[in-house]
Amino acid sequence: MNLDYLREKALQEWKEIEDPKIPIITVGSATCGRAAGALEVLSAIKTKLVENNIEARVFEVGCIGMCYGEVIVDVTLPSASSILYHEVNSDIAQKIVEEHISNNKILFNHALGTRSNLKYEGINPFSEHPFFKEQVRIALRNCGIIDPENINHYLANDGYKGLERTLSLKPPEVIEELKKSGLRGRGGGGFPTGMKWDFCYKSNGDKKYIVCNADEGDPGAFMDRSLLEGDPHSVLEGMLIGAYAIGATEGYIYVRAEYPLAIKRLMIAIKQMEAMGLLGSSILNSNFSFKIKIKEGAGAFVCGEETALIASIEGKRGMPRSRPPFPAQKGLWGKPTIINNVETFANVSAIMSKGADWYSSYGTENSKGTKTFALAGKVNHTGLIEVPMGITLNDIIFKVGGGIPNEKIFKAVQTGGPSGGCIPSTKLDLPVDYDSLASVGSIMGSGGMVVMDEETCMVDIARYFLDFTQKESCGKCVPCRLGTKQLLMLLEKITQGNSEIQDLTLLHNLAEKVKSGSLCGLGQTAPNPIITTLKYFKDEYIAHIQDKVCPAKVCKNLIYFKIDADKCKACTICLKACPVTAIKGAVKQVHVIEQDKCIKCGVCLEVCPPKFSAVIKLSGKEESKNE
Amino acid sequence: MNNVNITINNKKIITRDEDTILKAALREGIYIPNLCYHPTLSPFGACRLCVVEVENMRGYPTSCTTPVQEGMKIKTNTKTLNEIRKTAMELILSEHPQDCLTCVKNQKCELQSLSAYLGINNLSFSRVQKDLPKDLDTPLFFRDLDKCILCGRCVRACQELRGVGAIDFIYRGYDSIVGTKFSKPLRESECRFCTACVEVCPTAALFDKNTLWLPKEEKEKYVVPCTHNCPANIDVPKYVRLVGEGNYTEALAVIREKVPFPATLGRVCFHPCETTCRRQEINTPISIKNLKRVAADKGDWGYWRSKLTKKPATNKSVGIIGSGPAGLTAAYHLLRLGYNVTIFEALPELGGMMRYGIPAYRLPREVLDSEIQEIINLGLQVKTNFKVDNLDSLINEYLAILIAGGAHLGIKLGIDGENLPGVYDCVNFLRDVASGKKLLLGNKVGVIGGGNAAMDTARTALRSGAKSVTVLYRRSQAEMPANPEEIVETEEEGIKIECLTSPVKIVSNGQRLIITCAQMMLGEPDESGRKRPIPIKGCDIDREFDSIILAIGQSSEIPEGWGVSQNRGVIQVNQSTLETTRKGVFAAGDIVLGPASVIEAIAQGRKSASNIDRFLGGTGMIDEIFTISEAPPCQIGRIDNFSDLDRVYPEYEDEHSRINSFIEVQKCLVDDLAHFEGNRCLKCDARLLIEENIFPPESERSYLNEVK
Repeated sequence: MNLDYLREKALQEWKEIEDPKIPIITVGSATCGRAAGALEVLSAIKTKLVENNIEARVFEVGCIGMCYGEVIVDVTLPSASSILYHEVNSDIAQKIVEEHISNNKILFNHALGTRSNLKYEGINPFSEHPFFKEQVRIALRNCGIIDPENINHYLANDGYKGLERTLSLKPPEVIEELKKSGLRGRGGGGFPTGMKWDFCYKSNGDKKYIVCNADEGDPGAFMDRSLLEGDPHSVLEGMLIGAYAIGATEGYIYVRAEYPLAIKRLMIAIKQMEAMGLLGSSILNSNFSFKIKIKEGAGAFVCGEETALIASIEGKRGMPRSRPPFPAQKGLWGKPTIINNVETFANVSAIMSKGADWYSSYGTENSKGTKTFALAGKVNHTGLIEVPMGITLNDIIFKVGGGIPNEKIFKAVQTGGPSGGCIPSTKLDLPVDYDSLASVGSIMGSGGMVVMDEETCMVDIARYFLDFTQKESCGKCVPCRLGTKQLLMLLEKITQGNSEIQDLTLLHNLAEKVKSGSLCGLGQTAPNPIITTLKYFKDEYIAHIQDKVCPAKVCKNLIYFKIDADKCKACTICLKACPVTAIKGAVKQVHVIEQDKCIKCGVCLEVCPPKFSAVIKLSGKEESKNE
Repeated sequence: MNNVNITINNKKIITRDEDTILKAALREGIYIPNLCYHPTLSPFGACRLCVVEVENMRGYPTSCTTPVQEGMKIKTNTKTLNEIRKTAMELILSEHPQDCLTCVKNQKCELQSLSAYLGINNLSFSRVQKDLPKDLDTPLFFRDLDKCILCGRCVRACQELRGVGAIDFIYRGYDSIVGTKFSKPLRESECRFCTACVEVCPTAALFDKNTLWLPKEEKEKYVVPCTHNCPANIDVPKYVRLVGEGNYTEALAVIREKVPFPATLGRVCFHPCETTCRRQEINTPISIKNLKRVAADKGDWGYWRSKLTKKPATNKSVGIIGSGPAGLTAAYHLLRLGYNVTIFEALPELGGMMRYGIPAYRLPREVLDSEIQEIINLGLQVKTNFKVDNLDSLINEYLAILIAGGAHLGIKLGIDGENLPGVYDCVNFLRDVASGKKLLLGNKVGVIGGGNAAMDTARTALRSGAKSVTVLYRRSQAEMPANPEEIVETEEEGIKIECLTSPVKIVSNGQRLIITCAQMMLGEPDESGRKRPIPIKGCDIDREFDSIILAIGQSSEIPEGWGVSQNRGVIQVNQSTLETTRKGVFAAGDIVLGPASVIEAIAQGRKSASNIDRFLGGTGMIDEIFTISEAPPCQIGRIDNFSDLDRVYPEYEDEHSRINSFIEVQKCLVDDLAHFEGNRCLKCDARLLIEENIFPPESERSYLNEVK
């Protein structure tokens, strides 16, 4: 089968979208968009179009990354620049049809930018929007732009060019190209991808496997999901290239069962590939044959660890095993196996299409290319971003992220998911790359990035992450199963104000032991939140331990609520809202909180009208009893 | 396989390329602390005690999982490593119950010895405890999950070694435990109760019921009780497995390695193997006796015979008095060892009690004849109708003499009227019937006694023309010494068993015998362990019978002319050699044991043959090897609903022809049932192949060092 012919057809189809004869409307309806109401928006648009008897093409696209601005709708009218709308709901959607599509009246209040690089009727190109300006989208190149369920869209956007080029090379040449690109594993470990492939290529085995790790387990991380939902072919193409390079004939995509849309789109993509001769035997008339199976994971965090993932595919309990032997020597069913992350594969297809030199022009000396992050927490622009390696934390948080909401002060940023480290404000100039992050005790991880402001208690944050890793430990090795339990118990003791200063030494020593003694990455990195917060925020620990105070006023045992008698207008709002009737008082009778009844839920503070601001939160433990 | 040069603690070592660091070290006598490692199982790398430092390798790899590589430089005992080990051990101990002094594994616990080895004398961490319920309901072993350290040995034993996979880790994080699917009881899981998990457990999380920890040499007693309790030590699990596989020929050869009467035993053995079979703790014991019969009846294609070896003739002669199971077994082995053997039998035919005591409906004569013929074929000289009352003449002719005269005298009750006409003893009665004599018993027959002989007597009486037969027994049915199976068969044939009935006197009214019986009640247990029957005063009852047969016991006839000492009715022998007080004269069977069983007599026959050989200058080695001595397979796999599989029973001859003739009552198990029953076996013997757990060397225990 000839891909040139198919691509030509695809390009024609794409031209109808870029330069359409009828209006084109796309709705960002990945899982994140759907949660914000994308499907309602979609049906509102379709209904309105029918009502107004407008012929238009409407299709779903993946996520463009702007979580804070969902739902995103893009409208392209014939011979006009496309306009991107954000924060669209059903009402606005109807207006878009009635005003923009029917009468060519742009809704300026909701317009985010133009798709092209030109200003249009006073609207700036969205690439100049601060959220996008610093971004370089390689892995996410097609997300939010193409229809992920239409292989022609992918083909029209240089899709499978990387594969075509790969098949014209010998496997070692492909590996060499990967090595030259400087790509490192995007799943968290950061091991050079080309080297890993070379290792597997040189391993003897009658059969080899390639596995795509889509078991995205970090809470708040959704890079892989967005990629699979927005552009599955870029990942599948990467897998094919990898399979060819190492000599694998079978591939698995290990994806969380909690990602039904990603699974659905992967299955559609695989069917399309089979129909086009991109999967199966003699792919594109070469002697390369390959097939892909989807394995749904049950959602254990540890199954992201490659040996646990292999066990899980084999039908066993997801438990890591010691390496060596590495999976590249003895992996799935005992055969040489390469496991790469979703984002790694999406980069591979881009590298093989555009070349290693192009790719390595982005990034730093030892960390080439770009990295996607799920930007979350106390930051204005939450969302999925892709930035070149080497960009500073400051640029990510304050330029792309738009700074801290409500004029609060930045305190720390946590990278690398629950087992990453917390980086303080003094390190904001740190370039984001594998080695720099490691130098401050954190990790790149798969790309979680949680911003924290002054209202975040760092001890409580450490406790929160340990609670997660402790529960997600597979239970195999002693330091992880029991060490994280002890660490968590120590942190709970501190946040409850029940600890003594020598507990800090115990905490630190045990954290180091768990790090050095654990079997797999989960246990080896689980203490990172403790080690980094102890390093950068030790004063907060000491405040909890010695002064029995939570400076950020988070830890319940170390705070109390009080009603300022001078400010209370005895409106009874808080009195009625209190779930445990801890507030005494009546109309025209100043309210008082009974401290021994109070469960410190903070509802009174939330409901007290801002014009009164009578409820105050105070730190301390002992004073509360004296009230 | 290639040699690899490595260095451990500066010591140069040559090892094999498939080794792990730990294996190489242990082989060289370098101990590295380890806990989740077990020599029979695949490495796991969970306990982190066996960590080492390897030059140019990141972190602290576990020596149990790390393969050796040429030129590796390894350190096993640095300060950092010991710190990591101590932390891991303290963490394990933080959740381990600390009732060591009263724990069943005290002093036998690997965790305890490792804690001592590592010098843990203080816990830095808070104690935590899951307080999981103890599982006391599982057959054969206890599970105390609070004592589980999640080393995963049991899981690997079950999954990898056995191919069963009934247990796995369940839940996550600190809550992880070892359990079954959906936490069902083991009975309802795929568990096959091989107890490999118990064998490898380092702590008291899993431990055998009914036993404390045993040294390896004694372990077999408890672990494979069938073989251990067989007087002839037949390899029961092996032939049961072979029958299960349908390989009757080899199964028969396994039995033939120890006994020359497989077909006889397959019908009449009192099967102590079944009585102790571990499967009965789950539901019902394996029907071992019936499987033996299957092997004997269907497996004799000459295989064992082709393996039979006969040593060159020694020109030494041995005389044997009595041709019961003891005498014939001894003859069989002595013939094989090259002796000239002559057997003297007082009765017209060979077989002793097998022929004259056991009725033909239990042991058909052609079965017995053919097994005896095998022995005759080895060159046995037979002198029947030859009663030996004096040994003096034989002593000159034979270098050794074995007395295996059996117990052919019936015991009397010692009550009035027991010598009246119409009152018989069972030995004479059964012998007469077996010899084809016609007896006039009349319609109504009473049998006194509760043992197997009483059952045989009653059933034989029924087949000899009696219309109604009643067994009178002085204790309750629970105390009856007869096999439960035979009691059932007896009752099935319409014979009444009246318990708690003890004869007081017998009188004749001219036509019939009237027996007066006291009604009994049970008191405290007597020296036999059974409850002592006590007569209830004033409750005597009279019963009428045409004839009465006493079946309360047998004794032996020991003529003065034998010149051997006797004690309480049996010949006095040296228990280890079976030699009597007269030099060169040995004794075996009932005449030494008192009335016992065929298999016990055979065991005595074996023992006497061995000792006679030794007495005559031989080695005493009588064991034969007919089958390849292969280890039992470790992989036993899964069988659906294994715990529920129930014992199979053979078919019986129909009631009518059964009680009107001496046709064999029980039929041989059909193939399907035999295979089913064979596969029901727990394969306890596979456990013996598991290597011993590794304990830290006593000499290196650090607390000892500190004391020094």
